[in-house]
Amino acid sequence: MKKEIFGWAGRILRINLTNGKQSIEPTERYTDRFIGGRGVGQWILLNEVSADISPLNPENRIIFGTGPLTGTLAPATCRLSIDSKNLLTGGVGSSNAGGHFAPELKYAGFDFVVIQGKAAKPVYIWITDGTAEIRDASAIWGKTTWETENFLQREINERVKVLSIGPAGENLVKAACIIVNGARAGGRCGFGAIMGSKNLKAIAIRGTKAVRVAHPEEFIKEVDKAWDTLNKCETIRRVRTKGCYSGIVRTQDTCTLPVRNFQDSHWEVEKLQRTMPSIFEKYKIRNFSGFNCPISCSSFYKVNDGPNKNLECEGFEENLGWDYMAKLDIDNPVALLKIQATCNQLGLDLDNSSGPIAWVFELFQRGIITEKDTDGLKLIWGDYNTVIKLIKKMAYRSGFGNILAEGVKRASEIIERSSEKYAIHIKGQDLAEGIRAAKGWALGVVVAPRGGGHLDGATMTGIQQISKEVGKARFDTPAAGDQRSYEGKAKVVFWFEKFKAIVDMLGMCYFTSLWMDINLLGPEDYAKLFSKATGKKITGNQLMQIGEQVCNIEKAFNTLHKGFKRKDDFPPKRLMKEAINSGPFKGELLEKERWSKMLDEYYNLHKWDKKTGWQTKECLEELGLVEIANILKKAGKLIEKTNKNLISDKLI
Amino acid sequence: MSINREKNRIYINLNKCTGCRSCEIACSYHFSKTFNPEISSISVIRNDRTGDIKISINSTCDFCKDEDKPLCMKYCVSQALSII
Ligand code: SF4
Ligand code: SF4
Ligand code: SF4
Repeated sequence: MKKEIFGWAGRILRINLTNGKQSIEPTERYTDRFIGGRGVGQWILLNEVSADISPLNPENRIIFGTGPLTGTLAPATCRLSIDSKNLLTGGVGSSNAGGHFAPELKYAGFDFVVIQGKAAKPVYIWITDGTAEIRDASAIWGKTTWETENFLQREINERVKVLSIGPAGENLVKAACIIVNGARAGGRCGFGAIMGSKNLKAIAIRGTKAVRVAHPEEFIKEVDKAWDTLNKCETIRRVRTKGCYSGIVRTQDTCTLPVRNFQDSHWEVEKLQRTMPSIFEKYKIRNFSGFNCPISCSSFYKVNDGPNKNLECEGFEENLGWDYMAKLDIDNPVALLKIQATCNQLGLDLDNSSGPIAWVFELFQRGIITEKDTDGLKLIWGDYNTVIKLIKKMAYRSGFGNILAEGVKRASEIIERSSEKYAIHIKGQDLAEGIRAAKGWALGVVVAPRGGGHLDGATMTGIQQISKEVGKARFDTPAAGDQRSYEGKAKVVFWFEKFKAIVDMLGMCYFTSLWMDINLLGPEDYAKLFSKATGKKITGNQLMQIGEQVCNIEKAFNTLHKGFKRKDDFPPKRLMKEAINSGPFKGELLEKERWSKMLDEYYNLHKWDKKTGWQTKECLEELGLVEIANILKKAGKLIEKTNKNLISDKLI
Repeated sequence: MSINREKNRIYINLNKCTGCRSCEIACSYHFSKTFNPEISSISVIRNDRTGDIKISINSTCDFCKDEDKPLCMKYCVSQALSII
C-alpha cells in the first residue's frame, strides 16, 4: 500500500516547455531534508542550473513551491515561494508572494511546479486536480495581468487562481515581477522576465482535493495557540486595523526611508502629513486578506473623486511608501494608489522599478542628464505624472524606458558620465530600503544572498527598540534594541537568516513571526506546528539548523555563479560617505571600518572565510553539506582552511 | 450564548469580510478533519478586480453540531459571521 504522507499532496509537477513533456516526482525526495518552499526550490536550483546557464537561458528553472503547512488552518499559510536564477545579479534568486495561489496548488494535488525550457509560442499552464495542460496564450500575450486573470477566470471559471506576467515580463524588463491575484507580487530578481523568456504568460489553478495532517486534534491545538498569540499582539492589531503601510511612521522616526534616491533618510514632515496612513482610509472599502490570513495587512481601495475616479485596486505594502513616496518624493495619496495599480497591471515590481526612475530624477537634478536624454521629459521630484510615464516606458521598453528597463547598475554603464555614483544597488540589484540609521537592519539587507533586501537577516529589533533583557535572552545581544549600535548585530542577523528561512520553508508569512514583533511565533512554535502536521518530530533548533543549510545553499550558488566576495558584502559607497541630512538620526552613515568588523563577526559565526567571504570545508561538513563542499572544491572555490586571525579590514 | 440549532441562523456581514476564506477551511475541518474548501458548507468568492465578495452557506451546514461554537465563526477574526 502506498504510504500516506501528511502536510503534502506528495507530488511535484515538472514541465519542460521546450518539448511539452511533463513528469511527476515524489515530494519526499526533497522535503525530508529541506522542509519545503524556498529550501526545496534552492536545492533544485543548485543541483540543476549550472554556472554557464544565464538567467534567460531556457535551461534555467523557475520553481513554484508550497510548504508543509500550506492550505491548513495554521495562520497565514498562503505564501508561494518562487526560486530561479536572478536576472539582476546573475546569482541566486528567491521570491515570495501571498494571495490565494499556493493553497490552490496544494488542493490541486501538487506541492511544487518546476518549469524549464522555452515554449515555441506564448502559452499558459492550466492545472487542476492532478493534471496539467499547456495551452495557447496568444489571446492574452500583450495583455495586463488584470486582463489576463479576467480572461482566464471567464474562460475556465471564476474560482480559478492565477499568477501571471504583464507586458514588463514579456519585454524582459529587469524589474518585471510575477503577479498573483492581480495584486500580490513575487518581486525582485526579475522573475517576471524569467517567465517571459520561457514564453510562459500565466499559470491558472483550481483544486478540489484535501490536505491532510498527521494528528488533526493535536495540530488544531497548536493552530489555536498560534491564532491566540497573533490576536493578543499589539503590532498585529495595528496592522489589521491600519494596514502594513502604517509602519511608515516608525520608518520615518527611525530614518530608514530612501528619500530622493537615498539623498536623505528622513522625509519632510509636512509631506508625510499629506500621505499619513489615515488619509488613505477615505478610499478604503475593506480589508482584503491573503488566504487564511487573520492579519490582513492589505486593503481594497476605490477612489470616488478627482481625475482618478473609479480607480479600484488592492494595496499596499509599506514598500510603496519607501519606493514611490520617499524615493520619488510623491506626496499625493491617490497618485500613489495609481502607481501601485499601474505597476500591478504592467507586472512591475515596486522596489526594482522605482530604483532606476529615482536614479534618473537625481541625475536630472544634478544636470548629468537633460531632456535630450529623457525623450523630452523634465524630471522634477514629486511629479507623479512624469513618474507614471516613465513606468510605462520602462514596461514597454519604449525610448528612454529601454535604458531604465536594465536596472540601475546596467543603466549607469550605458549612460556613463559618472552616473554610477548615484546608482544604488547591492550585487547588481537595486536597493529598496533606507539603511544608514539602523546597523543590524543594514547588515541583513546588504548581505542578503539575492542581492539586497530586508527579507533575510535584516533585523528590526533596533527599530523596534526591544529591551536589553530580551536582546540578551533571545540573541545574546543586549544592544539588539539599539539601532545605532554595531555591537553584536552580526549575531542577530545570523539568527534571523536561519529563522526567516524556516518561515519560508513552511509556507507561512513573516508577519506571524517574531521578526515582526518579538512576542510572536518563534522556532519552537513553528516546530510544533510542523511536527503535528507532518508527523515528523522536529525541534526549533533542528529547524534553525536546516535554515542555516539553506543559507549555505544560496551562498554556494552565488559563489559558483558569480564569485561574489567580501567586497560585495559592503554597502554602496555613497551610504558609507554621505550622512543622513535631517531628522533624529542626522549625521548617521555606515562607517567602513566598523562595517568591516561587523562583517568579520558575521563570517565567523557562519564559519566562512573572512578574507574572501567564501565558505569553508569545516562549515559545510558540520552542516552535513558535503556535496556542496565537493562542488565548490571542483570549482576551486572552497576554502579548506579557516583563517580566523586574519585582519581583513583592508581587503575591500 | 447557547445555540438553538432550529431557530438560529448565521448572519454574514459582508462589509467586515476580508475574503480570507478561513471559514471555508475551518468548515471542512469540522466535517472531515482535513482541509479542503471544496467540501465546506460555506463558500467565499472574491472578485480581485472590484473587491466584492460573495458568501453563501448551503444546506449541508449542520451548525457545527458537537462543537462549542460554529468553527467558521471561531476562525473569522474580523467577526463578519455572527449568530442571529
Ligand atoms: S499578513 Fe499580509 S502579506 Fe502576510 S499573509 Fe497576511 S495578507 Fe498576506
Ligand atoms: S473567515 Fe470571515 S472574513 Fe474570512 S472569508 Fe470567512 S467570513 Fe470573510
Ligand atoms: S456552522 Fe459549521 S457547518 Fe455550518 S458553515 Fe459554519 S463551519 Fe460549516
